[in-house]
Amino acid sequence: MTTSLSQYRFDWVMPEIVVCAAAFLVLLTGVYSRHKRSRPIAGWLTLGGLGIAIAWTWYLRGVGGDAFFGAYRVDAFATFVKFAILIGAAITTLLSMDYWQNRAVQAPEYYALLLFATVGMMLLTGANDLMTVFLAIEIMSFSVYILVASRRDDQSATEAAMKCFMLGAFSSGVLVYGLALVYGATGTLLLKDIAAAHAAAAITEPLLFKIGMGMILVGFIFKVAGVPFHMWAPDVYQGAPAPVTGLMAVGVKAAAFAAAIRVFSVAFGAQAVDWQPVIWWVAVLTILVGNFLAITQDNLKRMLAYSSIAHAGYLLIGLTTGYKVSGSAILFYLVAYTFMNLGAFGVLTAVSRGDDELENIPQWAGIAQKHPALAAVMALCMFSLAGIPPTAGFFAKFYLFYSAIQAGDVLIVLIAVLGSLVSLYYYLRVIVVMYMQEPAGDAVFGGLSNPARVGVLASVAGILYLGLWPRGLLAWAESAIHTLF
Amino acid sequence: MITPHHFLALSGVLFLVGAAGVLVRRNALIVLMSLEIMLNAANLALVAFSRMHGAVDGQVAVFLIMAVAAGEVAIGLAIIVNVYRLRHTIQVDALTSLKN
Repeated sequence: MTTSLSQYRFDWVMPEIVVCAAAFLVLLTGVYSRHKRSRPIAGWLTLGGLGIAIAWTWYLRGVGGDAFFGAYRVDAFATFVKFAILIGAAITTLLSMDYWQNRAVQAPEYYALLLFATVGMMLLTGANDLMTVFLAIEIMSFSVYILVASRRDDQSATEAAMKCFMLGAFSSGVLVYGLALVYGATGTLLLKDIAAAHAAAAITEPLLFKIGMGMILVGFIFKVAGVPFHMWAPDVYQGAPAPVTGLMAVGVKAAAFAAAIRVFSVAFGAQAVDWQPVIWWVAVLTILVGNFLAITQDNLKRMLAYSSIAHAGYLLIGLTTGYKVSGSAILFYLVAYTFMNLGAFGVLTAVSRGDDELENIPQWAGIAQKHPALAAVMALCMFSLAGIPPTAGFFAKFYLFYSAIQAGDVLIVLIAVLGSLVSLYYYLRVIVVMYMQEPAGDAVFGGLSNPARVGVLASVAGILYLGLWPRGLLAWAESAIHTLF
Repeated sequence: MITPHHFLALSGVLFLVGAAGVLVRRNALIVLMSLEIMLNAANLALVAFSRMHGAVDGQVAVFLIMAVAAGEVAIGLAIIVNVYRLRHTIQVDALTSLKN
């Protein structure tokens, strides 16, 4: 078989290539810029690269098909999630510029790693071969391990990096062994060929196949921090720099869910009776554990970590009721979650200064008097995370739960609504502390710098837009999910 | 006669040894080595299956996994060195500052 370069379809992966090139350019600025004044250029270059990638993804939104001989796929589904990831990465960059400026560090390699993590996430959305899935997860995870450790002289950041690395590498080990077993049972790593092997009854070792599928599922549950593999998330979220935590909660989760949907709908769609009950129980446990443990948290980042575990549980409902009914609701939820979570982390970034990260909720007493705008944004994000209209979070939950009812699974919706009621307590507690308590006196809060102001405003705009006019995005999500089957 | 089942059994044992090492041992370096054993268990299985199916794609995957494993060691060691500089210990048990 003769192949030509055009068959690889490099033109379809140009957004990924642009982000990669921007990362290398950012690394070069670290070599060539000696002056402290020129350091913020790394952040602006990162934003430029992400902007070009967003524009190019928009340009490519109509095209699609198998690239790299089936190992990678560009379709409306991947494009949709790529938008969410790129916008999340851009907001994270804006927040990072604020975060590092206040700590008098402008490390270009931080932005380069942020871009490499973004490339990994983008590749994960289109990965159409188990090996591509594994490599994309590793590109993303390796960058995130280092990003978590980027405050090198901070004990808690280092500890978080160690835990993130060890459990992340462990889950990758489980995933890759599952991949090997599936290869053994089917003789292929391509998702659609795995499904074809099953349809042709060519699987000689069904037990091997099922164990492999189970291990891949465990690997994904680790990545999205589902119970019982959630233990790493609170520690890592607490110790990592606030913008990195935001990226982990938003981008990593969106990419992992996109890959899980593709793998389990394309390759293991015929085995749905085997994995759906497992995910059902994982979803129930994740919702309950995430929400009930969040109540007792005093540390805001730790509370948001448990809240993100709970949100992963809501998203898992979408997987268990089937992507055909819930797929568009999952996609809508991922976008809404991106805006509301990054808004909260944006305020957290703006408020914290220097060594005192001001992460404990009691420290936020009376912040509404000193910084009414910041407090209002935080309150909006908390309302949205709790799912109160007219915010993005309300419609995200509404569509997801509605699709589960359509699929006939009322019990899990009842559990999820119960979990949401519990979540009201800890989200509203933040608002009560901010608005109804007197300032502690000597508390010094920071303010927003210009880049962070843009990032936070973008999040607020997203939350309100999706809360008031959700139909447009939902229609797009519905058309996107149809490219999967 | 050594069949694919023998290789599969060996790789399964290797994987369990690696997983047990990660979960039981408390020295970060030993944990890192155990993580590598897990990846190599997958490599052995892939090579054996590749031979069994008479295709090379499993062996190509092994090269990619080896590259990933090398990157993993580099990052893991860097993090362990950093932890040692700050705390003068690499016992995983000693990392308990992140609590509510």
